[in-house]
Amino acid sequence: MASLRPIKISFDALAGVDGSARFSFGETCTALASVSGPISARPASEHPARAAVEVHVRPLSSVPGTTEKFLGAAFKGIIERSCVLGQHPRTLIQVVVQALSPPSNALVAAEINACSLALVNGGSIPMQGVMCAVAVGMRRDGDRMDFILDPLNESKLDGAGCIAFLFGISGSSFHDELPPSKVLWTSFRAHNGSSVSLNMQELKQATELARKGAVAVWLNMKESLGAAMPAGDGDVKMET
Amino acid sequence: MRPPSPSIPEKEFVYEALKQSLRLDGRDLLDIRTPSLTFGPELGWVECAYGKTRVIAYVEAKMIKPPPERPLEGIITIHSEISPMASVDYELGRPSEEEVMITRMLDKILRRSDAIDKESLCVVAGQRVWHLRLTVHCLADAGNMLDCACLAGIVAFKHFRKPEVEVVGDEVIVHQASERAPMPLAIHHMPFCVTFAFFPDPSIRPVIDPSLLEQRLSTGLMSIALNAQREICVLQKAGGVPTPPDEILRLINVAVTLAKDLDKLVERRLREDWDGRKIEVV
Repeated sequence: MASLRPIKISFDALAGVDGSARFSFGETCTALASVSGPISARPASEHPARAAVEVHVRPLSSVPGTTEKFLGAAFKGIIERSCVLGQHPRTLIQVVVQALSPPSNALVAAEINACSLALVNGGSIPMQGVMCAVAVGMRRDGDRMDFILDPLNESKLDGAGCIAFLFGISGSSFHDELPPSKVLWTSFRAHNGSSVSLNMQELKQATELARKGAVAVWLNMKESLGAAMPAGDGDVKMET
Repeated sequence: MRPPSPSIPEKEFVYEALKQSLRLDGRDLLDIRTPSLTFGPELGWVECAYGKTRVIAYVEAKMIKPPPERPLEGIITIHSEISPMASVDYELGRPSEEEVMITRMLDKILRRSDAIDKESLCVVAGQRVWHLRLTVHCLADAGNMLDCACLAGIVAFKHFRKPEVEVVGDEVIVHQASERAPMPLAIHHMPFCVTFAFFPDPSIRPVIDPSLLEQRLSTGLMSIALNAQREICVLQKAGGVPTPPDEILRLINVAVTLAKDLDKLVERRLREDWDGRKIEVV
């Protein structure tokens, strides 16, 4: 019930942007995010006191539609709350999220994690914490609501959602303890025309289950950053 | 907005180096970066990289009712919008020259050249045909995204398998991949695109597979799409650099050799990937 699919993290070092990262839950749920910033903003969109954030979400197949616009607005809110934007006024932070798998709630979670890693990989924007998200599926069983962490097949469930946490930085250094986390964003959706409702107790249950998953994501992210090379151009190899 | 590079020192350095037949990344004038192909877990998902230039292509199929003017053919649509991920200079919603060129070339090479047989995509004449949708995502622009996108596109079509369909009277049964093995698409030929860059100084010979700096500093680009059988599908020359016919023929011959090498590379990679997917029933 409380286990995630194997997480794979890689840093692509894309040539045209400042930071990029790829995050996947298992084999079939991968997202790639890139961050450029702070760069010069268009005069119409610049903010006098802080950096402006622009998020473009692109699906794997076809052109971006309304879902992508909705996710873009949601991710913008998440990033604005996780980054310290006041240090770079009148600039733009441009984030592009590319889905590399067909759409699902777990993919939304992977996209948030990829954004988070790309921001850390870029290294140019100060952050208040690291965003970690997981998907939670729900199935109504009589009176009870069963929650499944990181569901593989969402179409068989009554509904699913994505919960994002912000893992902050505490003053004292911690070795075994985990940093404090707060819920940053939640989004639940019912499937198959069924209507599901959650009461506060059930929502708390789902949040706590998701928190366990988010902790596993955070530990994976920490490990991957320790092992990865620093961001930059890298060496341009001479092809002989 | 800061104008995109190249700066004057970059320009002068590159031109001087090219006059001495030296390229910044150490390649010869007629050497391409070796393309690398990675296949995804789904069939029809390909990531192609020419050095640091990366493109992902994905093919999806849906069954639809064909338009009345063409009831016996399937439909192929190609989406190739460049996002700001490829480079900060690209803006969404405002197609740059590069994006228009890639869209046009992909259209000519993959659709108009009849590389994929559209009549084999028909299931029930006038009622149901396959609609193939190719989406090309440019992840990083380090020069020559066009060749990368074309290679990714054609390999994605070759890699893709459409579900097996059975027509019983009026009913169309689409079998799941777990019940019946999906079928490859009917591809007549594999076109590969090769791009040459021309420079303003006539003493500088054309270079193949330009890097980002070389592409920005070039005055003209010539792209040739041909297959391993020496048939030219598309020849596009932009920029208006005057070039004598024997030079063009020389470049076409270079492209022919390259197309044969690319064909062998693609065959080998597809075979390796397919071997990895087969499950031997003992």
